[in-house]
Amino acid sequence: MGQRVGWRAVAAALLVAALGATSGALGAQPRPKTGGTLNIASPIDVDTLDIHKTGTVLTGSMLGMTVFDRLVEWNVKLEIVPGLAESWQASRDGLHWTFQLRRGVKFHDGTPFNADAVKANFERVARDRVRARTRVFGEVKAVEVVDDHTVRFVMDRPKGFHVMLENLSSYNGPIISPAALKQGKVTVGTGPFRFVEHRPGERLVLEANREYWAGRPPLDRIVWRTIPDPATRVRMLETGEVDAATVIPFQDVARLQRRQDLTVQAPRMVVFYIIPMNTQRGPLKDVRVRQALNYAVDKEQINRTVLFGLGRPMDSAMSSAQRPYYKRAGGYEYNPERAKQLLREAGYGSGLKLKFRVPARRHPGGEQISEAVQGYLAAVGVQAELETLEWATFESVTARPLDRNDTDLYFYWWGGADPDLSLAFILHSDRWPPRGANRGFYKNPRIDELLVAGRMEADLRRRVQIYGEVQEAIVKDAPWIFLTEVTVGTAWRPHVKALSVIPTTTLDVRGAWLDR
Amino acid sequence: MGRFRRYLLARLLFVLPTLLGVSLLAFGLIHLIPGDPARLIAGDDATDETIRDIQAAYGLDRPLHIQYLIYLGNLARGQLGVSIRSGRPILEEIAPRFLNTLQLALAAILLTVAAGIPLGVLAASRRRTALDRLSMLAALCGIATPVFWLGILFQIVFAVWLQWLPSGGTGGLRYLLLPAFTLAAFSVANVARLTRASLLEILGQDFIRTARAKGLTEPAILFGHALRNALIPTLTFLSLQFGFLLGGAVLTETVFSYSGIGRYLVQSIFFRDYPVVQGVILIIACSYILVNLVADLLYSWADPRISY
Repeated sequence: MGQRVGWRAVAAALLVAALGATSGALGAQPRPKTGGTLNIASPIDVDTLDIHKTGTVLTGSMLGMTVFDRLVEWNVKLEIVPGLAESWQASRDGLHWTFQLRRGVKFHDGTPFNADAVKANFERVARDRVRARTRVFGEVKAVEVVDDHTVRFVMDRPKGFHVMLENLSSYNGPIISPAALKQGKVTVGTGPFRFVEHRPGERLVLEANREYWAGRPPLDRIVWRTIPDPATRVRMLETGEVDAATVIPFQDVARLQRRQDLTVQAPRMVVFYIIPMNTQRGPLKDVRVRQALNYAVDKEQINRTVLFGLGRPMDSAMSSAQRPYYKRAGGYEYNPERAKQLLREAGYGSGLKLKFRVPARRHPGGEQISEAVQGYLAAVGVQAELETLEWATFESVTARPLDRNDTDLYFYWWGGADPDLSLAFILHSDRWPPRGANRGFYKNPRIDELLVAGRMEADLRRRVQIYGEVQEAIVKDAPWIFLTEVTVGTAWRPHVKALSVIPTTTLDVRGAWLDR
Repeated sequence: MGRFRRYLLARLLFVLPTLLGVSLLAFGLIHLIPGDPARLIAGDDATDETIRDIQAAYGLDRPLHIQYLIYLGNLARGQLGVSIRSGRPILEEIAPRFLNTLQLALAAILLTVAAGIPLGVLAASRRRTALDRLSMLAALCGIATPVFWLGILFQIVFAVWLQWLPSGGTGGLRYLLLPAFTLAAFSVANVARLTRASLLEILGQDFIRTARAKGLTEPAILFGHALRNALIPTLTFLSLQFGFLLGGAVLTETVFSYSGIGRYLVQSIFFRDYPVVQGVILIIACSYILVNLVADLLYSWADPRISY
C-alpha cells in the first residue's frame, strides 16, 4: 500500500468525478488554472478552531481538510487512501497498529512532521478529555515512536481494521504542529492551505500553502462566509456574491438545477432518516406492531413532497451510498391495509397511543416528515403524540436510560461510511443509553454477534457478507420506521471547477480551481 | 459635592446589585432548561463515562450553587470564562460581535434621528395637509411591517434586482446599510409619530402663543421653542430602542446573516454554552444600564426644568 498519491492525481480524479456528474463531458480535461479566491457560503461558522474538538462535519470540510492532513484520507469513492501515512499494518490480534509516515513534510511553521508529532497529537487528545477522544482514540493505550518516520499505536482492546482507519481519517483526526500547540496556537497544520484569519460568525480566510508536499493547491485563497439563513445563501449565489454555497434547501435544489448558469450537486449521502422505536416498551416490543408502522407510512410520497424527490426511500438498513456494504435487503411498501391487519393480529385493532419526539430545526425536513408520519399512523389507528423539542433538550430526553425513558418513537438522522459506525452504534445492545446511542434499546444476540464479527473482520468480502446478513435481519425485525436516504445540496457558479462532494457529507475544496 | 454628582454616584451604586441580579437570573434560567453541553460536545455515540469526563473538565459536575459562586469569583476578577463550544475566552468571542451590533445599532439610531424627527416636524407643521396624512400613513406602514419581511424585500430589490448592495454577510459599510435601514424603518416611523404628537401638543400651549404674539416667525417658534420641549418622549423612545438594539436584533441579524450579539446569544442558548449565555446577557445588561443613564442625562439637556 506504499504507492504515493500525488496531489495532482487526486485533483484529476476529483475533476473527473465533477465533470462526470455535471456535464457528462468526458473529453480532454482542462489543466487546473492557478490563482484566485473562492468565496463560499456555509450555513455555520467553524464551531471551534481547535479541530480536535470540533463536533460538526462542516468544520471538518472548512478547516480540517484544508489546513490539516490526516494519517489516512477518504476519497470520493469512499476508499481509504494514504495521507500523512504512506502505509500501515495491523497485528493479527488488532492490538498493534504501525504506520510508516511520509518523509519531508513540514508544518506551516516550518517544523518537521514526524513520529514525535503524531505521538504528541494523540497524547494531547487523550489528555484533554475532548470529543475526539471518543471518536478516534478511545481505545488507544499508548503511542510509540519506533523511529523518526514510524509510529505504533497500542490499543487496550482489539480494534477493527476499518474502524481504526475511519477514525483516523475522521474530522477529529488531523495532525496539528506540536510546536505551535506549545505556544497555544491550534491552527498550524501540514495541509494545502494555511490559516489566515477567523472572524467569529463572519468568515474564515485561508491561503495556499505554496510548499505543500503534494504541490501547491490551485486556489490562492478560500474565504468561507458564514451565512446561516438558507434563503440568503441561495440569493448570494444567484447574485454572484459568493462562488459556491452549501446546504442548499431542498426546494431550491430543484429550482437551481434548472438554471444553466449554476451547477448543483445533491448526491446521495451515507446518511438516512429513520424513526427508531423503543423495542423494549409496550406494544412496540411486538415485531408485528413495528412492521405495521412501517407499512403504514408512504415513504415515496414523503420523499416527493418534503424532500422534493431528492432522497430515496430506504430499501435496506443502510443507505445505498454505503458502498460496497449496502445490500438491497428489501423494504416496506406503503400498505395501510396490511398495517391494520398486523395491528389486529397483535391485538391492537382498536388502536394504540405512542409518544413521538422530533428535534426542532435540526435536520432539513425533519419536522415536516414527522408530521406526515403522524398523519399516516393516525390513518391506521395509531395515535402518535408528536412533541417537537429543541436539540439540546431532545438529546437529553431521548438518551435517558430505559427505566426513565418514555420516548416510543423519535426522528433521527444517522449513518456513516463504514457499517460499523452506522449500525453498531445504534443497534448493538452494548450501546443502550447511558452507554451509547442505541436509544431504541434494540437487543438481538445474533445481531450483536454479527456486529462484533464485522468490526473485527479485516477481509472485505467477509465483511460485505456479514453486513449483508445484518441488513436482512434488521429489515425483517424492523427496529426503526425506515424512511429515506438523504442528500445535501451544494451549488456553484460555472467558473468553479473540481469542487467535490464526498458522500460522507464532506465538501472537498482542496483541488478546486477557478476558470476565468 | 454637587447634587448632580451625588445623583450620578447613586445611580452608579445601583449598577452593582442590578448586575448581580442579572447574573443570578441568567445563570438560573439557562440552567433551568433541560439539556447538557457535555452531551452535545460528546456526540450521540458517547458513553456516560465520556460525558462525565467532559462535565468534570468544565466544572459542570459540581452543585449549581458552587458553580454560581465560582462564576461570581471569576467575574470579580474580571474573567468571563471560556466558551464551552469553541474553547476560546468569551471576551474574544463577544468583542467582535458586539462591535458589529454596536455599529448596526448606531447606524439605525442615526438614521432614525436623521429621518424620524424631520418627518415628525414636517407633519406637525403641515398639520392636516396631504403631506401630513401621507407621512403618517407611511409611518403606520413602517410600524406594522415585520422586520424579517422588510429585510427580505430589501434583499430582493437592492441585492438581487439592482445589485447595489450585498444581500448578506458581515463586513464594512456596504454590509451595514440594508440591515440598518431595515431596523430603522420601525423606529423612524415611531419617532415620526411621537415627535408629531408631542410637537402638536406643545404648539397648543400658552408660551407658544406668547411667542407668536411677540411676532416671532413660525420657524423660529418651531425650532427655537417648541421642538426642544417636544423631544422628551422621543428621547425616551430612542434610548429604549437603542438599548434594545444593543441587545441584538435577532431577526434582522438572521435575515442578513449578520454576525451580531443577538444571533450569537441564540446559538449559544441552543448549544447550552452556559458561560457564553451568561456573559452575553451581562454585557447586554451593562450596555442597557449605560444607555439609560445617558438618556436620563439628556433629559435635563432637552428640558432644563428636569434636574437631579
